[in-house]
Amino acid sequence: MGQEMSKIEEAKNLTQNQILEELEEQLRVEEIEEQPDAIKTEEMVINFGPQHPSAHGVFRALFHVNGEIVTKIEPMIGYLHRCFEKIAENRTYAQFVPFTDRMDYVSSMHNNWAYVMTVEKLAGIQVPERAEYIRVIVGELQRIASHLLFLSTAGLEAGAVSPLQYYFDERERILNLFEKVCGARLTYNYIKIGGVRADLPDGWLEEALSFVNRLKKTIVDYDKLLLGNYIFKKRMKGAGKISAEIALAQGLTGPPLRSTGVAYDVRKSDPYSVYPRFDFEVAVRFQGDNYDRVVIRSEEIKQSLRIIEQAIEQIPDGRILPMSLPKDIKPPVGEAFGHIESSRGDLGYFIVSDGSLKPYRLKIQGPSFANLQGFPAMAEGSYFADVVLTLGTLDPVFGEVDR
Amino acid sequence: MSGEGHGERVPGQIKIVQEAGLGYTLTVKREDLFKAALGLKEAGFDMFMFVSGVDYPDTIKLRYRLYSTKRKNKLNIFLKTEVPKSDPVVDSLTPIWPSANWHERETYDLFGVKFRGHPDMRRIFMPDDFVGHPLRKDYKDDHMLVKEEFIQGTVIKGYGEDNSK
Amino acid sequence: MGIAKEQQLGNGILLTKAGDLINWSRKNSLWWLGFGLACCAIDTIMMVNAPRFDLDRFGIMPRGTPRQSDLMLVAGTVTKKMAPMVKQLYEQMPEPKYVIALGSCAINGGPFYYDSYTVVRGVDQIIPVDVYVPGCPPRPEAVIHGIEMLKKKIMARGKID
Repeated sequence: MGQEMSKIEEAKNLTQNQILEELEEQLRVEEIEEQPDAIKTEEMVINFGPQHPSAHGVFRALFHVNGEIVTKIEPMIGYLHRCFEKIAENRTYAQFVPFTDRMDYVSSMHNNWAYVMTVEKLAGIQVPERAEYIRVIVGELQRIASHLLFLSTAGLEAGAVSPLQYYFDERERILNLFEKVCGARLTYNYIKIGGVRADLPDGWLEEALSFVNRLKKTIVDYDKLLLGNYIFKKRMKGAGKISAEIALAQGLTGPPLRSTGVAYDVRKSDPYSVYPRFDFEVAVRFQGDNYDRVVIRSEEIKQSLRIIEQAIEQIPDGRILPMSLPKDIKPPVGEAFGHIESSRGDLGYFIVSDGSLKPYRLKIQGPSFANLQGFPAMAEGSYFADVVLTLGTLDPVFGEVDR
Repeated sequence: MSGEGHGERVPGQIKIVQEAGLGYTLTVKREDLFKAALGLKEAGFDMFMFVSGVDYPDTIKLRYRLYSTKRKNKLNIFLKTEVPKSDPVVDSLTPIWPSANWHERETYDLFGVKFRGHPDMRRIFMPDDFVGHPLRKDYKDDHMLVKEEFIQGTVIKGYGEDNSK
Repeated sequence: MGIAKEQQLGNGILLTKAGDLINWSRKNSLWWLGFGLACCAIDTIMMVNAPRFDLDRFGIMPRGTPRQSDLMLVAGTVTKKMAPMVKQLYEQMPEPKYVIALGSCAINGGPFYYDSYTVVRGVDQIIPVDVYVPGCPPRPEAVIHGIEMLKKKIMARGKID
């Protein structure tokens, strides 16, 4: 009786995770060695079609599969090619701003910002300080919204359905804030050449601050729900591993590159706007597998909350558009390049101007295009179920891949 | 930076110029492109970011962007070169940076510039049987509706007289 | 006529037409195939199923395959490369099937109407559409209104098909 009582007390002290780990230790089965030439197998080619519930958009790939292991991946893109670059040659600089929203549609403020920054560089327009601070606050809120969407779809890929309900609740609050400022929920068209389109309404900053304080507490709980979960960790750790050399050779940017140990963040390497005035850190991990890519984005949410707090404290009063904004923007002849750190990586615009009202050539450097190129290198050789997870953690948005 | 091993590899005058909108740029002829790229790789530029074509009446200009995560200064550089339209061929940079693969396919698809030595030269956005190179200025087809005047009224090509389809 | 007879027969008996009963059951459990192509997919398909604008309370459930669904939500731009897939998936759905075109791009090409060499100007050039929901992207409330209009259209069908 005394022995049983101590066993029960022992069992109560162990947490659920420890119990599962102990059981796994005891139930581990010896792996059976494969006899060579026992059964003849052939490779099969499976089409992961452009319409698929977990393809994150229109993506087509051919998987060469040998048993459960994927030996070769051939990605095919171009199913959403909407000719942005050709359209840009027939619109004025200000008329093209709403089109930029539709490229990386999960974080539209960043697209607006990168394009507008390049045009301002080309035309030599100075942006007032209050507008810069508003851009930073709105950009960081957008980064948080994009990462919340990513975390819920990462959970869905691994089979966890409940985190979606919690993360989307927080995302709805951010979309509420955006709706108060510019009237739209997804494609904002808020950042204008020279500043922002409209000033913040009364009480917006207080509401944003209370949202930040709320999210600081709840994100800790949500992390324990998803990232601390035993099944999630088991599925994500060790899968889709990539080393720093291969990542640099394949041209990855953004969170996939920072998960391998290379600390390349445009906000620190090539600072723009008023970022040098804020105190924040760049999240870096070293394993390069799926789990690291998910954890980095959760860390970035916490850093963004820090930046928003500091920006709300420091924001000055003043104008939101410069005094001498020309009615028709006619930049001088030349070329310019501007880039920012969007939630997916290094987003850049390259504009060639010939002195007229319309750009001569506009080229968009999309981070999802470069990241998707590294997808075969990450996922070949792993199990079929892990390949879809790896595609998910890269976070591609096909409006940006196909432009 | 111009003295780090470049002078021996690339014949002729090479000079890195700082431009207002782009930063540091290096202009080379198309025959010297591969050697210049090799020299830049040794100088620490380990990331190939993009290649873009710009269409002019007789030539197609190419702009490459390279980035370095190892250097201490001059992290970003643009490599400029030019290709005549009568013979749009240039060396591929995929042996140096594997990430140039999809970018060069995109430039081939939209501009028609062929890259010698590319492992997989075919279209990437348009279907394989597409004829023409869409981003050239003289590209026209039946499907496009070109928006002509957008400031003083709108005249739409392809519509009937009473604006019916 | 119907009410007097029902009172005669007692509690628990309802008199109606077979067509009405079948249409009522169809409209209250639409299972959708999400054809989310572009930006509209995030706001109209993902957010409408999220906790605030819950579509599950209407009996509307996502199914990943066309063979088990009767509602196709086309949200986003259809390009020429993608058009054969739209047609193929439409033909794989069993009768009766309904199509809702969400967003400007699915209605008539949207902002990509001019100067675009690959965009199909409206999904109704490929498949027949029942309800059009305008917006770029449409608000989730507009999507729910569109689904209500589809339910009225379903009830208005006179015979059993």
